[in-house]
Amino acid sequence: MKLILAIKTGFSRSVKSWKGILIFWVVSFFSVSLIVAPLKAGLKSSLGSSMITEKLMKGIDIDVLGDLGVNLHSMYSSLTAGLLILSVVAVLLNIFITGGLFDSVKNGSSGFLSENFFSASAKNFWSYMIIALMLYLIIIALIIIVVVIPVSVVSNSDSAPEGIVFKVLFISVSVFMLAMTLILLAGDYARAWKAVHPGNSGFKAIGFGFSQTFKTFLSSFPLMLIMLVLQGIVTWVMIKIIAGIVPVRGGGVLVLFLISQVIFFLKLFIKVLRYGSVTSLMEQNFYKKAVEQEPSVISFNDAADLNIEFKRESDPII
Amino acid sequence: MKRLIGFFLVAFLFSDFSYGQIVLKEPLSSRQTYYKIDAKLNTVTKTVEGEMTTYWVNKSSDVVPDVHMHLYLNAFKNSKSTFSKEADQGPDKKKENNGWIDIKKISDRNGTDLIPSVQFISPDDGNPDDSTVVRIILPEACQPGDTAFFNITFESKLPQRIIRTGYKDDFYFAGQWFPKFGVYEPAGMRYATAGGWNCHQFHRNSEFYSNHSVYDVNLTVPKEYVVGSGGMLLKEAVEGSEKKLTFRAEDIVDFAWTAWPSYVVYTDQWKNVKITLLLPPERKVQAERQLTAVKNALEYLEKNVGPYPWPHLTFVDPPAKGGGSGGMEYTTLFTSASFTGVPASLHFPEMVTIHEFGHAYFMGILASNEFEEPWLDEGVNQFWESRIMDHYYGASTSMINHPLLELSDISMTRSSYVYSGSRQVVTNREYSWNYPHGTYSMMSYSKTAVCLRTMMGIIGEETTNEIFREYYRKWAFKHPSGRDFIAVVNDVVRKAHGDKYGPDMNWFFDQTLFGTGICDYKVSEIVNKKIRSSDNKIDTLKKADKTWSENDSLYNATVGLERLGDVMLPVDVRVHFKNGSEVLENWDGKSRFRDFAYSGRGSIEWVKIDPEYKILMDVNFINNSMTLAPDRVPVRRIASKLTTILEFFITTITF
Repeated sequence: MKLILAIKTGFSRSVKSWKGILIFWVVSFFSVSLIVAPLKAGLKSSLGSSMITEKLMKGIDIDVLGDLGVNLHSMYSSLTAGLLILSVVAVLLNIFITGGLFDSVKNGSSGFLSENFFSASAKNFWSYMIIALMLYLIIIALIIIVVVIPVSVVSNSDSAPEGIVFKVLFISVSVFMLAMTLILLAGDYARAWKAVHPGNSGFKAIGFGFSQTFKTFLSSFPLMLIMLVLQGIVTWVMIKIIAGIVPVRGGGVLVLFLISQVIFFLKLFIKVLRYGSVTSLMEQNFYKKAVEQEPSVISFNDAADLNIEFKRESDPII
Repeated sequence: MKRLIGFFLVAFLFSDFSYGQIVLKEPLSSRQTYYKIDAKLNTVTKTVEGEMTTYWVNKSSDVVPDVHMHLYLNAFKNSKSTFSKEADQGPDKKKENNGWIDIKKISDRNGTDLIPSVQFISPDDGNPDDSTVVRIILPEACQPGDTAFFNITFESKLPQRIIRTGYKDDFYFAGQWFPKFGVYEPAGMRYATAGGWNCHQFHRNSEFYSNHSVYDVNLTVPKEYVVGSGGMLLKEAVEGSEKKLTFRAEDIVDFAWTAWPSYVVYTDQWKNVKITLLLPPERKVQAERQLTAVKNALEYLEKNVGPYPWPHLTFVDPPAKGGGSGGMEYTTLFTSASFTGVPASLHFPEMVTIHEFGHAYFMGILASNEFEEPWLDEGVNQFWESRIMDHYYGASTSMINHPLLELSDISMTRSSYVYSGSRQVVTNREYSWNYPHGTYSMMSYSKTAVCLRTMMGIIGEETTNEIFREYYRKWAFKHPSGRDFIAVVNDVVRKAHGDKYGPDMNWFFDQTLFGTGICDYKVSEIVNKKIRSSDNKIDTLKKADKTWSENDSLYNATVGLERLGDVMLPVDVRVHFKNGSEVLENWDGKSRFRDFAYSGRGSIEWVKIDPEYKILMDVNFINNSMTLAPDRVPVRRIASKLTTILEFFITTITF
């Protein structure tokens, strides 16, 4: 029940924050365009007035790639360098935008206001940066410990049984994915908590995130799992579309582009839905705690921070 | 008298085996050599102890004073062997992990100990630390028609690091494991100027050259081992904890075997050929794929080259720990390469299987010298591999058939040549170990296959097939050289096309295979000039063309073509006009530039050199065509998809 309520609340708050999602999409699109546009221009000039494009009708063609020669080298270099820069930029922009998004999906937020969104983004930037860096460190450590080391050991072992590398890889990746679910949950709780406790540090928020993750594991974990499955479905649909649809006319390419962007927007929406749902779940748990404990235990400051009004237990939460 | 009796006795005994027919109805080769080996695998010391009775028949008119033999396993003896130096790797830190072969005893038909007359030689590089070739000075020179008999006791230690041959735990692959004759080439054979032994050292980038022989091999292994070999299994007897297997192989160039307790054995039949497949239990699901691949290759090569003459064929998909033995050929035994869980969309196992099986023809039957002319073995075989793959697994999907990526075998081969920065540093005249800067593989495999595909594009598929049929008819179970192959090409092309391509095809091979130039044709310009109405030409044309209307314009249209590379090949040029008409021009491709001019109502819309992509040697297809209305849709589509992929990427790496 708590879960459904959290998703329901998260959904309505995400819909209200559609402008924030739009900002998210615009920023992502333009960041990516900074890499794609020069690549497109480079490819266009390399192909010139050639009719070799007929070989590209079905997709990537190895003959054309090989014949691009030096141009391919430069395009490859610009893509790899661009990817690195894009990754850094994407992380920073994501940190900034999530500050505003978490603020707009918290209880009591009066819909989407640009000034509030950007003010919250700026206010939360450094603490969200700390949260993000800490979580990236944890993820890197986890990848090394759970995936890289076992797979390396097995793959470098001459006497390892046939196929064991794939089995170990499968198990390692499965364990990593499960751990990632918890890390994402902790990250979301930390940021949601930070959004309502702007005065506290990012480190404290991480502590809260992990403690909340494990305290409310039974409700939080399924929620995150549902969100990740939804995101996975969208990604799968996108892969199918990219791999399966090969338009041969300009109009078709435009339609493909629009569909892709709509699906990408949907993916961003689900991400914000996740933020909203986790925030809502946190508020529910906090509210429950508040009403179960002696009123003196929860200070009015905390309640104000959470935008919680003390209500009767029978009152609806929203 | 004793010697004479001894000679007849031995000759009688051998005649039973080497000239008797057990596997084949009749001998396919001249059978200059014979090997009878009793070998025992010692799984504790990782050695094979062998007793070998062997002979070489001097079928030349030369008096031969010595015999040269390969002792391949000594390549793995130390870090100073030519093989180790070329591979840039030392032997294993533990001496007991190295490989070697030791001739313990060697005697002639009279029982004369020949050990004192054995000496290591290094004919290729003079490396005193290389002991992969041995010279045995005969007590009496071998006269024309004489036979040199030897009884040899040897011990072969398999290396632990498997490079074609070796062991890992309980897995064994024994290739190049016994003392083996070189090939005596009298003057004239393969254009040799003087008679002599052709017996090269073991090099990293070379394989083998041998006479077709008969092999009678008794192999003793622990009874739990599953064994596969290039011979036909005649008998299997379990004695205590061991089993003794008796194999017979006829007219093959090498005898190899493998033993591993965990092999799963599958058998199948193609016409009269019994196919045996050995693979790890984890890869049972791949058995059908592998068997289908080998049957495809049998069918295609029989149809287009010649019959597979043996009634047996064994192939092995080695386990991961024996991966170093994968992708090797020993005529009636070959190894594929794969891995557990290889997806159906990736045809890598099929490619290796078809390639290695193809060597049964190109080196097995047509026993060229891979040391000296690797292109004639690997390159020709690569050409057929790509044809078989593209025929059975799709012209654009033969290597990878996935919605996200399609790749054909020939495209992969061509890109390896086109993309190589060293494609112009050397010709295909080099011995296999002389290719510089890592060009051996690109030159021997890829460039040759691309050259032959280009030749096929020029002379046609049926003529190409006929070349190989004739090559088979003329040279099967002999030792052809590259010049012999080209001579066949010349004969067949002349018969099929007369003088269309000149008196011979040497011009093609000299430029492509034996040249360092590249082929690159380019459309440099399209010029459409409208002729003004005041021009007298219009009136002339109007009179000539009754369909002329007053609204029609008249053009002087010109196409400018250029030859950027040194290689000159005849090419088709298709010119398309805006009014829908087309002209197909033939350009001999010799001049540095060439213009085609047209006067008439049509202005040129696009031009394509080699419109059917037959000249695969052209290193740049992009400049082969030009249009006044380029199609930007594919570029836009790629950009659109890349945008979405990157957007998903950044949302995945952020949380």
